[in-house]
Amino acid sequence: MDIFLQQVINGLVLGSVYALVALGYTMVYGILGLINFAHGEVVMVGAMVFLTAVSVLGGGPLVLSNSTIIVFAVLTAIFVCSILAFFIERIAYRPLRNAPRLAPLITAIGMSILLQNIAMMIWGRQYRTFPELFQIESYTFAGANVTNVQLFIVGISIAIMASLLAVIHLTKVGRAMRATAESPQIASLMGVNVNTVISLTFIIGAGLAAIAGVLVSANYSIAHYSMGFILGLKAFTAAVLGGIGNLTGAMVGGILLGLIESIGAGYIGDLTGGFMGSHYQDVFAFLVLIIVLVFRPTGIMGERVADRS
Amino acid sequence: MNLLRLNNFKVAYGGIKAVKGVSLSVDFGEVVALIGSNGAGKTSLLKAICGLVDYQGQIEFKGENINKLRCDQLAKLGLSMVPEGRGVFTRLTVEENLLMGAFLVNDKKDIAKNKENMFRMFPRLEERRAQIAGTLSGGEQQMLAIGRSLMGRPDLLLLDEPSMGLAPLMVEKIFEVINQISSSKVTILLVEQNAKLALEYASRGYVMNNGEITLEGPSGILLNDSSVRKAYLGE
Repeated sequence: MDIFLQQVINGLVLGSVYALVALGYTMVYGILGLINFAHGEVVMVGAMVFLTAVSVLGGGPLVLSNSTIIVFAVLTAIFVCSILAFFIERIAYRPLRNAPRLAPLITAIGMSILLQNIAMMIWGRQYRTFPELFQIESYTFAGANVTNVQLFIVGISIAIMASLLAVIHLTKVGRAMRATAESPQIASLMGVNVNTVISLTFIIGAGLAAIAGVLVSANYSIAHYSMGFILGLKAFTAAVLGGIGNLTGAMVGGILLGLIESIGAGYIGDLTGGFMGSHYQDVFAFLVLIIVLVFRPTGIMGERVADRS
Repeated sequence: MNLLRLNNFKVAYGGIKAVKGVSLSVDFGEVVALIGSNGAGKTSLLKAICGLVDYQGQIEFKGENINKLRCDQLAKLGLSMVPEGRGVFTRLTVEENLLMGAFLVNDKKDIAKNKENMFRMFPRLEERRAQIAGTLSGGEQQMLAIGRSLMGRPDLLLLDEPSMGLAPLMVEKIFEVINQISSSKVTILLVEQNAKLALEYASRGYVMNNGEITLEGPSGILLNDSSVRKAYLGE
């Protein structure tokens, strides 16, 4: 088995999920200059709602095909997460719009803890397993294994990211979002309702987060009330790596971080003579965060951090 | 009839009073100049009219009280501002900036027609339509900012220091454009430090000093007023 290629495949899968989540961080930062630390919890809620919806739909009186169940459950997750994010912004961030930057940051961390605890009360402390909704098939490709789930994760992520870029760059709403990101005041002079744009940004980010939650729980076959925390931090790292505020940067940063983590985890055992194993995987993301912040705080594609702070 | 009317209009930033009870009016079809030195409160006044900063006092637009309205709602009513320092969206292209100006216009044909009008008025913008606006020169950005405002077909255009930082030739060009706009029945409230130029193009003027209107009247009279000549025309 080719370890390198295998880790690249795993990295791409992981990276596409990071990218989807990182987009939510970067879009909100682009418009509000706020790091929405509760975003990781929206991912978790997406996964949990999906699993609940699957068990409700699957155990209900209607006999539905598995693909119908999946589609409805994903739509439910997107819907619930969008509403959740809408209210997070309304309740926790909007009243602090003109407060010093530290206040909404702390509120965001508080919101993250609050959501984790609410999720624990609703869904319990135990790990929830992903149901067998489809046959997992494994293909061998140049000495590495890839499953249909992995191919699906990468494929759907790319499709979603491409559509998001199209919306942002080719539609009137996307133009208004970019204009608002640059200057909310001037955008409002053009007749843009800035609050609507901000709500929309949270809703779109939450939709992406819900899908990411479903994908990540499908990939690992489990979900847990605390799964959003580390995932959120890593996606935040990916957004910083790509240049926070920059959409393409978030995508590139996500994929890159997935690859770094995966390849790092694959070789750390050999490199340290077995002293450290692949469970040190998480170290890489935060190593990357520190290195980026020290040597290139604007990230790979960002040039905006300086002019916004 | 007044298009815009302010009565006892005040703007304060914390304890600092920038505008201390200003009353002024702008009639349909007029070009009105608001002149005054740096820090007189002119920009604060314009920003407050657009709802960008908090204010106290009465404000009427088209005979309606607009005290409680947000910036974007005022835009809908036909109020547009070209802010100080142009305020173009530097990361959007020239064409996207113009389209942002037409954000509230839904008729695609109308937008396309209006865009062609802007390109006719400012051929430089057409040459650079796909260019990122941040790479334009100051004068080109000013043209873009004015063109963007006109894309929304405003009834009242507030211009904040359109001549600021521009070469004399460009200033002349911008004022030609202002003249052209006013002849197409757009009412203009023009804030300028270049008092002579502003009064030459305006029919009436207000002189603002230290947050208050100290003098008002027809341009011809203000231009010949000895205090105006002394304070703003360098005599």
